[in-house]
Amino acid sequence: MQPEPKIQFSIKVDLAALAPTAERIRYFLCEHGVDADAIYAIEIVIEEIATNTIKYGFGNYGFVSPAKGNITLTTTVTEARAELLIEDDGPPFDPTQAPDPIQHRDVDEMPVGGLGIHLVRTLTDGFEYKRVNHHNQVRVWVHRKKE
Amino acid sequence: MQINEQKQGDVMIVAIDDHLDTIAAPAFEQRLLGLIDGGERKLIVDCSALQYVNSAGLKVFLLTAKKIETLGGQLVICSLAASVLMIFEMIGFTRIMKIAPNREEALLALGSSAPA
Repeated sequence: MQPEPKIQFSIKVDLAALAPTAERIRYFLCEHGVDADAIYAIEIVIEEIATNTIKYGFGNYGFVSPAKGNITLTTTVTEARAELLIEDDGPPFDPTQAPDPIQHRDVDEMPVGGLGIHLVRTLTDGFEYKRVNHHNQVRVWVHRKKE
Repeated sequence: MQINEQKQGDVMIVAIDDHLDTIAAPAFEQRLLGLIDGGERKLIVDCSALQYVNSAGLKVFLLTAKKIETLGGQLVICSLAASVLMIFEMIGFTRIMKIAPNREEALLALGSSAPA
């Protein structure tokens, strides 16, 4: 049996490093025949989760010691789904516990925060968090559309 | 990110390019809020080129709508691609914001019309 296609990137806590990494993951998913909707969902998730980690997990662009501040993104494609595992060595931060913004009836009432987490919850079929060996692990997956 | 402005009567039309993400959002926000500070009260954002938007970009639309409506103005967002419209629906923006299928309808919604 062939191993499942997998690709892994390690980046530093840096918003500028994120876009090229997302681009390469998109290319990888495309190469393995993942449908456009699933790719779009994964792309948004990468940005939302990693941006949250960079901004809040590591403390709003504050000082990060050189040994710390690593984010690893592992993407796996199976027959049924595309899966993304985002790991970082920052302080404990569980995005699955972030409050979902209540959908308000007008512009006035709608809160500006929480839009990203709402998108992640809505776009994915699974969204899990674990704290393992002083690392945050966020796992999301999206079902692939059948041909 | 490329942002083009075009004034038509009392309506300011802003056209953006394909990617509105965490990196592009601050410049876009500054531009739109700057236009409102400069006195614009009827604003159209033409998204016909937009292919990707994330929460940072969505936040700019929301902040702009909040600000302009507080001042008695209006924001209309037009020409959304299917993938972007899907995101707007998920987040509830299609219920709370004025969305038009194209520029002509957006102008009509603001009480203006395209030049004959």
